[in-house]
Amino acid sequence: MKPVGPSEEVFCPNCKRYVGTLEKCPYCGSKVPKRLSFRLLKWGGLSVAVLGVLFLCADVRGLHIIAKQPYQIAISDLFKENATLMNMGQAVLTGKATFVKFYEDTNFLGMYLVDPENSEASIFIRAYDATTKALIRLESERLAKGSPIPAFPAVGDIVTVRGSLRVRAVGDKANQFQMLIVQYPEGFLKIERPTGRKVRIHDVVHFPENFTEYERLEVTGKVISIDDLGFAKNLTLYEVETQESMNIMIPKFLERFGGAYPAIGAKITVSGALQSYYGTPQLWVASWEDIKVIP
Amino acid sequence: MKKNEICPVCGKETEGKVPCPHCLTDTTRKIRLLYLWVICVILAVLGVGAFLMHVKASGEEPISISQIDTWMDYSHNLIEGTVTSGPLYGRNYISFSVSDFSSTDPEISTIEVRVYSPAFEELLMERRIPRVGDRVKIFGQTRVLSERDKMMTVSLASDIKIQPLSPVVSTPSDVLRNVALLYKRVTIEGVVTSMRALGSANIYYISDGSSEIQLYVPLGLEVYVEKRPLGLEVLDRVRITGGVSSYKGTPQLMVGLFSDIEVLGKEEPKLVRLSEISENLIGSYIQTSGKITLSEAVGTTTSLKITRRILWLDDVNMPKAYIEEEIFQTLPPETKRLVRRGSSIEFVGKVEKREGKLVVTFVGPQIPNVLEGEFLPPIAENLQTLEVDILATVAGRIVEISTREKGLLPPDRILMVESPSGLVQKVLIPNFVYERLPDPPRAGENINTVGKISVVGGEKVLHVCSIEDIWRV
Repeated sequence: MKPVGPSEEVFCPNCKRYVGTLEKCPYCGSKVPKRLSFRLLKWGGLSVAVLGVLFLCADVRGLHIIAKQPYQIAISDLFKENATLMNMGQAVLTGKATFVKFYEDTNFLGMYLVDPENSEASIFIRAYDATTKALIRLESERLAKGSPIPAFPAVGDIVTVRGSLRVRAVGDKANQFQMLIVQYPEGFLKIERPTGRKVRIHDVVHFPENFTEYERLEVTGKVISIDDLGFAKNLTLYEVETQESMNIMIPKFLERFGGAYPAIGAKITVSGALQSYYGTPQLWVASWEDIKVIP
Repeated sequence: MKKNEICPVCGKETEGKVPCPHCLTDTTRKIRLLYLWVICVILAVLGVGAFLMHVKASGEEPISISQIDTWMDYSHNLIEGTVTSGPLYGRNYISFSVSDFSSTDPEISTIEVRVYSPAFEELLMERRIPRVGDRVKIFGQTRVLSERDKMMTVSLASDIKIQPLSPVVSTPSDVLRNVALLYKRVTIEGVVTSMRALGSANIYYISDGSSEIQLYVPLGLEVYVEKRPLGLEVLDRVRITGGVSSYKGTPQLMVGLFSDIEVLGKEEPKLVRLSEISENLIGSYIQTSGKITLSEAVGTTTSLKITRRILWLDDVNMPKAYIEEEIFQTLPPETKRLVRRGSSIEFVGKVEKREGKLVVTFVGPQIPNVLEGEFLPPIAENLQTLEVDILATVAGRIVEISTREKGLLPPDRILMVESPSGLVQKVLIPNFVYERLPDPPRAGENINTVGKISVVGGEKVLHVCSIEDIWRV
């Protein structure tokens, strides 16, 4: 077989044996000089690879020159026949939060988002501890600054999230499990907290058909009792004009952001997301800003 | 090596060089065939072992519930046991407790099982509802917070195998006495004597004349499954097929669906006038009637909640009617509005003795007959000359309002009311009444107040008992 390449580069200058592309002779250990282009190719290639990875990191995080934002999809799309093809894909979803829970034992955040156009379609959103802790920190900073844009989601919010999808089968049934994992706090792209619609407690109790579950309402009344349920405190709000009352739920989690419960007897205006508890209406407060004591 | 020797690895000529100058393979290093055989045999043995372990692990052998510990958090397991509590219904799930009695501590050998949508709907459609007493075999994912707090989530309806238990005919008394009936299914007959309304369930009391057993009906069954109220009324005669569960050591019947409860008829209550109520009737259910002369709300010391309403009927010496607030709140809004001073009421109640006095406890579920009317007690010229616990009206101008502290709660208010004769009398408005007034009275205003006479600080005052009993003139 005929050696390929200039003989001074493919044969060892010391022992004269064939060494091919090796820069060090495997037989005698002598250095075999190569052309500059070879070294350039090797180190240049390595540099391009490192820079490329760094660029990709920067691009994914913010530049978005090559890596564009994932597609915005409807939550209902995850229930279509071929939705499993989206498994492990990145996606942007928007929905109304109908359940938000901070898991004290794991520091995870769990949330259900319902498709605004189709209340039958919902997806579970999971943020693990690092992301959740970062969200708590961001919410604390927001409250300190007095910014009106929430950083931590609550029931009734319209939330847009970006994350990694899980759409897979359960047992022998395809497309039964839908979940989106938000890997970093920036994945919560937008949290919109609708202004509460001013209503009377009497109307909510007696005409529930005029209200949508999880819509945000604003009611006014007197606090007549505060009961500790463990996961939340339940304020019974009494509307003196109509003699009707309603339960106001303040998640225990909000205590992480300071705040103080109103005193029994205090007149307050409170906003929250409407929920039916076995047919009885109650409001879930999203943050301490939702409670205003009327002097 | 010969000059035209070929490298066995790269297939190029080596010119007799070792190692191969092209691929650097040292062709002198070889493995003996015997070693290869030995390695293959070892791998085959290990493979067979792994296969056998897999077969054993994937077999349908249930795990003991008491063995499920925190290390098995998020693992999938198969359990087998008896349903000991439930079913409870949520918007999109059904839950129940399963125990295999593998530990002497029932909490350790019990696990809560939850079946979410769509498996939940499938079970409902197939009418395969696990009930107390049924044997079940369930495959699902376990969440284990502690040895005593574990849960299993089931994703597929087919992962639940139910072996229903046939009910035995029994009586409420027998169910309460016979511990062998615990976690068994029974069919009993009895009469609905009362109800307790909890936030998430209604508890009905079913009596066979000598004992009462509790029937637990979760609100989720009404709201999410049957989508209608159960509609049981006091003194309904019912036949119930349910499982015998236990709550804090007391046997309790639990049903899966409304079809487990059959109304056979209604017991006619004994009609008794208020004046005829005597100690002989204690414990019996009667139908009585009277004119409400005062609707007295009873508060608590820890909040402004009303816990009970006491209806003063006809004459102050007659037995009063006690209505627990949770029962009062189950009444239709119009009936609630009418249960006030002046109205006539006819209801079913249980004769009891409280604080040494005969009373009639209003039992639910029932809708009393209430007819609107008016009643105004006589105007008290001087409260100090009247007896305690009689009804009176105080009319006049408020000359001063003071407070009586109630700790962290808002204070009671004491109004100094000057009557037309110039006498100043005290009117006590408890905090839970005052805070409910839409427009509380102010000093200088003329008011009328109705209430009972009580003693505060050694002095007789008019004690206002509800918001309807104070109004401006």
